Amino acid sequence: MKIKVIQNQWLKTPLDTLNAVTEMISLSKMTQNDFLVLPEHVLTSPSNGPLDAEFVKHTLETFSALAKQHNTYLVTGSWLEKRHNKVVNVNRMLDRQGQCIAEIEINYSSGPPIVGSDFPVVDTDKGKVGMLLGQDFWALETTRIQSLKGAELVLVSGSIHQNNSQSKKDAIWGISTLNCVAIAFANTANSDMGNNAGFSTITRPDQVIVSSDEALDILDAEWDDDAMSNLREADLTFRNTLWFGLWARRKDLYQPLVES
Amino acid sequence: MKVAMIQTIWQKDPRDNLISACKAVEKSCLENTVDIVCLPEFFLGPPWYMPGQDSMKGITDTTIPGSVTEEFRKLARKHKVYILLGSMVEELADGNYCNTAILLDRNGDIAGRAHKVHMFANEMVVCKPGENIDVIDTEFGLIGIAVCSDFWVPETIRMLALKGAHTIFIPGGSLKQNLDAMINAFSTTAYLNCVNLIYISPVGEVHGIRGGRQITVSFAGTSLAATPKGILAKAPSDDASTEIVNISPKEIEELRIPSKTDDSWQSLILRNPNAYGYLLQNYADMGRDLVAETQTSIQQTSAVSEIKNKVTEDFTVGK
Repeated sequence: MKIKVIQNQWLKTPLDTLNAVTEMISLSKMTQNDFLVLPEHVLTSPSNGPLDAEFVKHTLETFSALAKQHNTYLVTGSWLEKRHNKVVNVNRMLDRQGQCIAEIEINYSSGPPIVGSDFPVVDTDKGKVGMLLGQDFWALETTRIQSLKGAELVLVSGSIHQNNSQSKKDAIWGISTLNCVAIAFANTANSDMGNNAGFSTITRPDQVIVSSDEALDILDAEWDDDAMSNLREADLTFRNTLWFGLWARRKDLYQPLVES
Repeated sequence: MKVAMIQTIWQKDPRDNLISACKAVEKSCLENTVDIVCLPEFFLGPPWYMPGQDSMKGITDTTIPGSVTEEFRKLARKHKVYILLGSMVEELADGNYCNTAILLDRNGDIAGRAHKVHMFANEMVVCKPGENIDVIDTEFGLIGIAVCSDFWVPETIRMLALKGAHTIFIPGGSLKQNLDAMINAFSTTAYLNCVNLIYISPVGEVHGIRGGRQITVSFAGTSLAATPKGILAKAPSDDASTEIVNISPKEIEELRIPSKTDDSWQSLILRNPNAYGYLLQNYADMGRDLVAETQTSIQQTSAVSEIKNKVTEDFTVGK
């Protein structure tokens, strides 16, 4: 299984950024790649408001063509769109033919972060994969639910700002360990246009495979297709114990977690 | 709140573990003004149900209340200190066993207890699991106790934090193979639940047969204290030690206040419980009965031991 994460910078206009992201993808070695993940608010700061419908169409056509050209699943990263008189933050997963196979939509406001209610798990030709957007990743329950549903890899279009960024970076691996799931987390790089922390990371439960600092970057990781299934299989010799938290649960006791 | 974390090392003669634990508690109270003294999981020594430990039955387990708790009640009263006896293999009146942590208050009374809820290895067969995950009201406010493997099911700490615990004590046993991942998962858990965590492990080793194979189980100390802001203390992996840490319930209360400008500490608040119904389901790929498999493994191990004993007896008689 081959995974790439793009840590791009915001440029002056969304179109400039889109062109730069396209170039980054084209310049990276995309041979036999399986999953490509882009960050939350991939093209511009959310403070610039929603993208217009025509540009959204153009962006989707561009990403769809890239997915098809490189024969890869592609998580587009998110941008703001206007839908039903609301501003929403939208993230999509495209399959190897460039077709949209999953979408997350979260209401957007410039105030405190808003969390979503949809944590999709998608069947791919590389097994079950979860997709998350933004703030949802930092609630422990979302990755947990996707892991319980059988996702062995979670693709996150996320954000880490400068505030408390090291704790969040460490927590990407921690969430991976606690849920025995691999995680590919994409964030935008720091730039003049936004105070982002970078720190994109690809991790497995037992170790961080690769992670970035604040600068522009492309992350690569590769492991055997059955590596995660093996790690998750109950091993009663207890040489591996990372599976334990998924298998030993007492679901009847967790009602308080689903109560407001 | 000043906490003494006492990392014990299993003595050659398990009967000495109680004496050395009492001495360590006494010493930490004489040298420091502490509020809570914490002992690790299995501070009395390896339980009889671990590989090769059959002979520990009646030695490293105890009734509660009983002679072990009585020793520590005296110490709690003498030093006016809380003591976490975490944990002991508790022999129940009906002949069953539990992995139990006890919190004594400054008067030596039992202020709270926690039974391990998520059973590990042979415990799946030989121990009765706890049936609730609840906080304990103390003079410091609400605290929680999670026994060892309960930590590795993240729902446990999440529930205790949501129920209002500002500090959660985890008597556990660090497995050597996972130390780096464990330390990072520990600080992640403190951060994402906005809670103080105190983890206390023994140092020790047992040897025996599991699944027909000779194995060694190593408990590698590495007791830890963390606040949401990071690791405060880390004990060595190979020796006894006492770590003294100051933790602040008030700081947790302050970090948990909803903020419009800083979401750094808000993952306990920014939740959408109506969307979390799947947490009440089992893991999708769980297609095996681990209790039955463990039962078979224990039976096979017993059979091997019996044959070995018989061979030894025959050999001795023949000789």
